[in-house]
Amino acid sequence: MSSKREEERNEKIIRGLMKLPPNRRCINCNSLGPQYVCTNFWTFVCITCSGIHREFTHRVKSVSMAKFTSQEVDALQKGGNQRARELFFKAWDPQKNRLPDNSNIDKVREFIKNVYVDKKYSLDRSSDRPPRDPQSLRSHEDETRRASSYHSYSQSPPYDFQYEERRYGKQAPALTRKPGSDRGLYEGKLASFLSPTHLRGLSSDDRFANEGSYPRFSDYSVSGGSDPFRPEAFSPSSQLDTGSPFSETSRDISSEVPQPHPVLRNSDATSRSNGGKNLHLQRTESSGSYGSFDSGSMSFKSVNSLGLPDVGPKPEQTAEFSYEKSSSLSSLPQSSVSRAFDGFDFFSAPFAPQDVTSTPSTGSHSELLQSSLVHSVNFVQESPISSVPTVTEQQPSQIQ
Amino acid sequence: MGIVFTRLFSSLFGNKEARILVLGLDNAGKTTILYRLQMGEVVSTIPTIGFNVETVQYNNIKFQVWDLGGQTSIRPYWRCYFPNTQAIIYVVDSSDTDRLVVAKEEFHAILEEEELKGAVVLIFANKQDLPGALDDAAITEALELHKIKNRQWAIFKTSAIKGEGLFEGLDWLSNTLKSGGG
Repeated sequence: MSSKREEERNEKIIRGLMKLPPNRRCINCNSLGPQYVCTNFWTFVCITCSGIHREFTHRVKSVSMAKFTSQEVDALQKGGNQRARELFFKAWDPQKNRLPDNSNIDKVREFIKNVYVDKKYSLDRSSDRPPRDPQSLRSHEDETRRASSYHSYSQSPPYDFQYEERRYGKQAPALTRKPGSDRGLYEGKLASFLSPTHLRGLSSDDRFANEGSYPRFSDYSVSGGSDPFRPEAFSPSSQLDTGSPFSETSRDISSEVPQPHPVLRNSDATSRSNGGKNLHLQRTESSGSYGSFDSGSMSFKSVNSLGLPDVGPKPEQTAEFSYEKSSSLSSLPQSSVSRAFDGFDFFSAPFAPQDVTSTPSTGSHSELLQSSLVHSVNFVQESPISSVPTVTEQQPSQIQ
Repeated sequence: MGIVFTRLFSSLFGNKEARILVLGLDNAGKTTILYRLQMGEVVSTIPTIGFNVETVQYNNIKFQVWDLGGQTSIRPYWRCYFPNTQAIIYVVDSSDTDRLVVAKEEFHAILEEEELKGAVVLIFANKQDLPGALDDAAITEALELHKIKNRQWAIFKTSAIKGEGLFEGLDWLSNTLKSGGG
């Protein structure tokens, strides 16, 4: 299906993605070093959670023991834990809610059901009908952004270091960014998360739903030797969907840029050369609502200034573009909701709430919460410092 | 040699032993089937790395059932377990239509193995509880079971979660093994 080289390249990219702070912990139970990918949501999960995901017929793949197609790697680059959080954890309040411990299978099961099946924290009706907007442009730019950030990340200070900064409110100069420069990216990420692969999953669910009245176990067919066995019962659906529609394209891409690291540099270069124009486009489209993406921007800062890649060279993106064109900016309203939760920076949630919940009064926290919300929003609009909105939330809990 | 004696001994006292491999793609339900057979319960599983092995006593046969991890990169290790195997239980996720082709390829690769020449094959079209699961006839077609030559085989619709079809499969297996196949 894919060449050795491509496989190696893909694995390298995934390994790189695994080093991104949001992906370094299981999205569900926060355990360190998740080794599985849930391909329904493009999240990194631990083996325990992967087992539970399977119970809900979600697909999981081990990073080291499965092979990923280029198409899947693409999706994973566009996905990842951060984006999944933006999607599934919008209404998740780390002050009130806690991630389950993976030693408690029942809790994890309940959690996964709430989050991904019932979408309790999505606050997003449209997640059932994925919005298709003209932002695949951005989703593409994102992908490169991820890739480049992966590149820079593997060489940058360890995650804990950055975490400390946020936690204790130190302002690393490197963290500043131009507000708005990745506003569009954020939107695009939502859009791209809900792109074809995801859709395909949904539609197959629908197909399944129509066949609920299957007769079960009516007869067991047993056959000895080489009997021609019920030849009339061939089901056409067995052959459906077996080929991946993008595999051709993916191969093309990989053959253009066979080496893993050069790939990334390559895309940096492209983004630089095309950055100006695209950035402009992006800003006009999303003016006034930037900054909802925070923790990611810390790790991706190196790319923010680089701008966007050229859409040209990847045909599949163009296809996606027209595909997603149909509904316009439908995800914009959601951003106001997600912005409100900026202050929490879900990524740090596993740490923050532990401090908080150990303190006696929860009431005051919700007030703090409120004020930190306001803060973070203001910051976002006023100053570049806003890339570390968590600080406002963290400080009070430190004082106590 | 020891195995031969053990088998001879067992056959004299009417208690046959059989070494069974449970194979199939990842997430087909192999581990769930193993523990459903062994404990009669649905256990919570995680993707198997390596194997699980349990003995299941059924119809006077002591099945030693090896459930081997099915993820892509560890499938090549299946062959380490091939020697002295009397039967293969090949498990298919009947709802995973996307990967039926892969399931078929793996299946026929197994049949090619010299060491498994004498093994009988039981196919479980598993996950029949899921909407959209293909039935046994469709799985038969998808796996191209009609191409099987010189081997006894059977396919059963199963739901490990509901516990349906599994022991019917073992019935077939024990009858087949008792009558000398495998």
